[in-house]
Amino acid sequence: MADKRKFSWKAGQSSVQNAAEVLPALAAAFFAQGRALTSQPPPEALHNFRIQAKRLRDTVELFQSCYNRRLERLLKSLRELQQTLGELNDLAATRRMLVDRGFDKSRQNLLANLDARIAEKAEQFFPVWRETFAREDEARRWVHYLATGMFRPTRPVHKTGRR
Amino acid sequence: MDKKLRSLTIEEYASAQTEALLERLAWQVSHTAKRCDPESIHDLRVEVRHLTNCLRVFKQFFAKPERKKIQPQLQALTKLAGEVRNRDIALEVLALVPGVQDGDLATQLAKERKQAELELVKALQRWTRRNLFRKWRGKLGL
Repeated sequence: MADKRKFSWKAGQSSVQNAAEVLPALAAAFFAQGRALTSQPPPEALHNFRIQAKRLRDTVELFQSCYNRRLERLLKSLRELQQTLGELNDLAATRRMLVDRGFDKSRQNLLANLDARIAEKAEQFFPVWRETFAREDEARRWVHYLATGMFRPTRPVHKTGRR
Repeated sequence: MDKKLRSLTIEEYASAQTEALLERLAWQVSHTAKRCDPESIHDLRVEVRHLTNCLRVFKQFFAKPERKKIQPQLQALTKLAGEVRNRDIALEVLALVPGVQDGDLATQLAKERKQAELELVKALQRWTRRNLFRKWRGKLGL
């Protein structure tokens, strides 16, 4: 099941302080759910994980103004992961729609084609997950950033002097 | 980092974000009612999702009865927009499946999309007429 976390905010404290205390646990839960996925996860597990990714992104984006610009880099990788999961969901939703219309008997070719594309897309998920989120220290990086990323100023860009 | 927002307490921040998302949704509702193309339908669903998530995340700062009245209305809008969006996606996916171009299916889906679009536009216009967003702002104490 996608995590339906209850948030507990400390009224009277700043938004920045609250975000630093609450958001890291949300990211940790996302990484834990991702790590629990097997190499050939059932569609339902991927669907739940897609919802979890969406909730993490939507909630972190709610606090974007509390963080420095490095947050955008983290969100970019999350968006890429969501893109793959979203495409997979689109294919699965179309398949369901066709089956509901009785296409399972009359148009086997169409369904077989969709099944092949669904399997292909599901296979694309793991490389994306491995190359970004499953990297060593990535979960720690997210958790650490969400706990401290608002207090550290973004390093100014210096001109290198190269021509 | 937005210094002004950063200095707010969490309850002030919740109000500011909810108000901003309500405004964005109000704009998107009127925009989608006029355009109703796949992109504006998608954007409408995104805005509804953002506001729904915001109300969920910050629910401790809003009165339960008021929040409970708003949520089903947002769900109803998501469902209506989803009926259109599902057809848009199916048409897009099926157009990419090689060798299985099915004119009848595409025509049927396009027809259903049009019907779902009409129902959505009716609901969006009703929302605008009833000035729902202003009412919600009052109910949420914004």
